[in-house]
Amino acid sequence: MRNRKLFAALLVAALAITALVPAALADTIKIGGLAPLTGEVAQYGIAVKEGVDLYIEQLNAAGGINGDQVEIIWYDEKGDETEAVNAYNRLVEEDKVSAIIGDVTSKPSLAVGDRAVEIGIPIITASSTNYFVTDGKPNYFRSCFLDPFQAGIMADFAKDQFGAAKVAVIYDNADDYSVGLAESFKAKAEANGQAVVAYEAGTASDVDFKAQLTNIAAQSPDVLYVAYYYGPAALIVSQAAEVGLNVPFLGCDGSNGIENVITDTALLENKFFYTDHFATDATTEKAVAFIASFTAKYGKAPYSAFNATGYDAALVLAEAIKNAGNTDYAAVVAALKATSVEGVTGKLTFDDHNDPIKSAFVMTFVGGKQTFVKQQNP
Amino acid sequence: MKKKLRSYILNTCAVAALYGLAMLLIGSGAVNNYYLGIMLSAGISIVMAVSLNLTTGLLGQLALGHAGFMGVGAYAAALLSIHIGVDAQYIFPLSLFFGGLVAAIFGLIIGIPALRLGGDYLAIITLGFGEILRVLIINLDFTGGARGLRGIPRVTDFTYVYIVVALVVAVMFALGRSRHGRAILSIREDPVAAEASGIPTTYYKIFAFTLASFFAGVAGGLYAHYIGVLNPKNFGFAKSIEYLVMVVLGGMGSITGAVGAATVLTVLPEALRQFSDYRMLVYSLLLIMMMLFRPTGLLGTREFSLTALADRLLRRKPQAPDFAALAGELPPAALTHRLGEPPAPGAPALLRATNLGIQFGGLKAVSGFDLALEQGEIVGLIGPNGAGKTTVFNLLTNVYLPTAGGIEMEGRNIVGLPTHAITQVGIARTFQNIRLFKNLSVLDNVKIAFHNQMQYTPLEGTLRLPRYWWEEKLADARAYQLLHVFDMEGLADKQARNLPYGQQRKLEIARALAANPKLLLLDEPAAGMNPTETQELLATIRRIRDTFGVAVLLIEHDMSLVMGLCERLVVLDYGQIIATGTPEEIKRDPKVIGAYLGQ
Repeated sequence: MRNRKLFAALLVAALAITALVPAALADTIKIGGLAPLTGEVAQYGIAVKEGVDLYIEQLNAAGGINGDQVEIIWYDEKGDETEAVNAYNRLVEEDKVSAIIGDVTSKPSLAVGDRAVEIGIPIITASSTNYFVTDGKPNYFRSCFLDPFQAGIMADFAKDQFGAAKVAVIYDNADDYSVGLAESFKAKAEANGQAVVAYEAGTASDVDFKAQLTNIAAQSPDVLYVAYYYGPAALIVSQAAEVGLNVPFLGCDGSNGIENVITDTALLENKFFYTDHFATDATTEKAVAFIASFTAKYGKAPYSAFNATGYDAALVLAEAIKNAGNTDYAAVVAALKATSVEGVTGKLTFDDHNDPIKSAFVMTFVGGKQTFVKQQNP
Repeated sequence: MKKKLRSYILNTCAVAALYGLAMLLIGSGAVNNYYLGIMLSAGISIVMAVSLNLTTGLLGQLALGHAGFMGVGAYAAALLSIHIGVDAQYIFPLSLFFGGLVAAIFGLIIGIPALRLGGDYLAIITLGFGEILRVLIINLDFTGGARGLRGIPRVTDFTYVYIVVALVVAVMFALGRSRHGRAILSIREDPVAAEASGIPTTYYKIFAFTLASFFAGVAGGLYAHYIGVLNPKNFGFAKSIEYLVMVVLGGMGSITGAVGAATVLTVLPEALRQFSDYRMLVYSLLLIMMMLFRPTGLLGTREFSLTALADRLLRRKPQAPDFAALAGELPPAALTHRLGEPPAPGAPALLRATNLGIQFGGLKAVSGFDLALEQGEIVGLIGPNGAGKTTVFNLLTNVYLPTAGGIEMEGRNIVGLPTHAITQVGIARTFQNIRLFKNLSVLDNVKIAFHNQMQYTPLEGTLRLPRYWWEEKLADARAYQLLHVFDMEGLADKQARNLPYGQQRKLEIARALAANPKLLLLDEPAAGMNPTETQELLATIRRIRDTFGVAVLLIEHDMSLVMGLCERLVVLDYGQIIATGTPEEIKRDPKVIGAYLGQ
């Protein structure tokens, strides 16, 4: 009996000490990271995480924010809304983070955003391009541009570069990202006075797009907008050649990586153009330094625009905390609103909707390598 | 009754106390939003697992699209909340009910064709349903399509989840221990025997499946109003399997097992979060080990009982129900079985089969079978193996539809009636290979056959209204009385599978009698019995006839039984009657001697 009392006393003491420890380390600023690190969409989550981790490492090496070190706590949410909400709650309630970088895909971002707006915690996504993620949420920002933005850029690009009067679209009606791109490309093309002669739907699980491509070829468009991720996009480009559809292809940021999966990269040469947040052959000082340090840390060059937008998201957030002078939610959000920094993806400010105003890169392939074509300003 | 009342009070207090404790912890901030979120997720999983357990564990039908019904309910409830124009918190219960209702309608539409077919069709059709649903949601405009449905008012709180969980679990227990629940269990145990005991199996399959769909829809409504965003991908096959794993892990058929497994499997991935990359690996390993070391799940088909636990803690001995006392409480009239009134002169025969026949392909299994049975007669049907004796039974009970001839019961044509309806008309049977409800108690085996003599509705049963109590009490007393005829009342609590062979045969006869037949068909009742047991059986059958006034038609190879018991014999060979007459006549009939009895 006495032993039990002693044990209880020790337990209480241990708990008290544990409770005191965080107070002793109060000089650390905690930032939460939400991303799918396993599961179907893990590649995007990992790409963001690598960019963020690189910036945080550099920041801490350079003395942190106003002398405080930054700790980032990552939780895997597998691309699932329930997991994302649990992870978010854990970051806020258990880890008591000051700000969050995330989420990566749109629906988990929406679920998390609904909760974040209630407490006003500063949160920035590096990759969610769904319009509603930041809509009506003054504390939710993003470092990547929107679907309408990049699809609109491609409609303009088709006009400027090829004088395209007739455009065609192929998209995935089972994927929100693809539907959003297709709709805004169509809207912008029509606003530009371009005729949308074909608007064909398939799904990402299809392996044969020839039926749609034959329909499109029959309308003899000047360009084809391919609103697909890189996998199906590679199939579409290959199969277009088979049905004799010989036009420039326009892609989106999700097309990044197509050169790794297509069987014949010659089909892409000066033929496949896509928008991206970042160009690996960019020559700005910031970008060159980013590429060098990324390669040094991970032993590979940046492979995804999300590496860069992740880096920029962390940069923007850290700058805001520095400018705010403390980690008070409202102060950091106000500082984020006033952001004006030179990131690796270009100069970045936020509009009323917390979307970044920045240039997009149009890329193509030369000699099988991603090659920068044109910087299209907003 | 007293014992049950005590159990109700104990459980109600425990449920209320748990709620009070949880609210106290939430209110004081000891349970923060993180733990609350996990609790809500666990609650939703419990509703899903418990409702799937109804289909898979209790009804015994494999369903692979349970998350699909959750999706239907989630979208229906969310769309109602979004579009009704009233603050969602005021109409949330209505939204939940609406979600359940729409899911139940989908369940009905899918259940009717799938469950009539039986076998694995339900698995295949529900598998397809999940996929079709996903494609539908993606392609419809009002569901938000692939972008998902957002802006759902987040009104799900602990109180709602707790109430729904408590209600669903209570309904499962209450329903499970009513005539409707027994009907559902009997289908899992043996659909053929259930049908022969007068259970309309198709009706109950659809009933259980639709009810499970309803609860899944309600869970979907809770989920939608918790997360606030719906993603059509979340209600697919993988999610359905997640819930199926919970049911299997908890023990198929165990309600408390499903509750436990759903809780553990929701909490575990969160508890393992610090293992980061390895957490899913650990989770899978735990599942595999669980299945290796406890293949029947945590609880098997057993239930965790708070009452039993309290009894053990207080060292109270569980009392066996006193059936004799029970019988004493009831008015004697309630116990009297239907004793046949003497037939009016000129009334049609009890059973009349005319020129009955069936062909399987080119084979005439039975042909030109004529038989008239009068009330209270004991008639034997004998003949060599393969002569078509059991086929005659299957024709009379409409397991097979005859290709020729007619069957009349008291002048009424019964050809084409479903088997359970034939049982209601007054023909009950036993099977050549014993078909008991093996995992149920001896008492429940008998009570299942009372199904059609009880009238209370599922609602009355669930709410435990007076008619439930009265009819259940009566059923207990009559079951005791029947078991007493066979000297088996002491075995009422035993699982049927644990009875010795002879007792199983007797229980099957008792069950057939419970259906209150006018005609009892016994298929080789003495098979496997020793001579002493056979003699006992002979006396018992005679006593049954005298007590209950039933006619008996029996198939038997044991000549001592047949000759000693039957008043009349019909001899079949190659599907045709070769002789009829008294045992003495049959013994001397040269055709029978040649074909069957031998010199």
